[in-house]
Amino acid sequence: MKVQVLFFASLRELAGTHASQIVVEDGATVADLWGVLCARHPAVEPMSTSVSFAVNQEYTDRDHPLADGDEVALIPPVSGGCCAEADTDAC
Amino acid sequence: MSSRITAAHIAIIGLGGLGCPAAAALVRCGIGKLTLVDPDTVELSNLPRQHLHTEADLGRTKVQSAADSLAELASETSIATIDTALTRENAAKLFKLTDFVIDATDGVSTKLLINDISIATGTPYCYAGVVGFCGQTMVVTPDTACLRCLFPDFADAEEAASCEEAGIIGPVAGLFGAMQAVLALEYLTNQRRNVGRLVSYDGLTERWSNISVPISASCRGCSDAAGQGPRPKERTGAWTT
Repeated sequence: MKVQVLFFASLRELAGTHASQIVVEDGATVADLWGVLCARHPAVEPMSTSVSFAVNQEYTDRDHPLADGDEVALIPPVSGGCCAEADTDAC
Repeated sequence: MSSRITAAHIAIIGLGGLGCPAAAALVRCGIGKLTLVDPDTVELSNLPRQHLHTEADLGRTKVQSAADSLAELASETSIATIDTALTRENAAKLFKLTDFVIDATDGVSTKLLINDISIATGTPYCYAGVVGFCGQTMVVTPDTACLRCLFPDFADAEEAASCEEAGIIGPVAGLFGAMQAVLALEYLTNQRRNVGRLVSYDGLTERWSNISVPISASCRGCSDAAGQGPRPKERTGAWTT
């Protein structure tokens, strides 16, 4: 089955894309999808413990089973807010 | 104008890229009282996106610079300033006196401090973080998920994107500071459809996301409150510096 993956913030930079269609096996969970993504985009692997997931706009845990056509958003924490020079290459 | 707004007391923690637009918007809306908290002084590099400060303010405390600018925008709002860093002790005293807190800070440890003291005192607050062209925000109240529910490993996330390393686009900070003001006003006027929801934005793709975040039963920050109804709101004590 196919799911649509959306990369937010630093994950977009690390993955090198803002969205991707990924094929996973029937019955795959969010954790299984993350494994596929880490294999395809190794730079995202260090975010494994901090990334949060939303499936079809609902926050989910990693055991959540996926369905064909699901939209999965990958959301890392963002802590900035008051400092530093602009860097248009960032994010 | 709603009496809930004119009677409200909001604390803004951080008078930088988020705090300046949030404070200006709230003052223009007639908020009753603001308490501004920031230990820093105005630097030249702040000026492109921290619009309450000017070249004439270089070297002054950010809270005093901001207070003077805000007084010119609308003199009806009472403004208090605290030019020391937020600590567990002074945060608890301040939060108990406020109706709402805006987290306009930079850095994981301060954001988690605000989250934890907010829960301990039952004070609603609005988290926000921005980096590059991206930002996210969420209102945490006594009966919603908290920042630790959302990002259980936030404290350990050295890779958590911070503008200190990755830079910040001024208008994105301005957008999210204004959104924090909107969310505060929504809360104060009992319009709460956005509480406990993470709103994310990516300027490079013009993509928004609005996600419902459930309370986590294993959350270190608020699990004691899960299933036990709203966390209590204590409203005692006096703020002193």
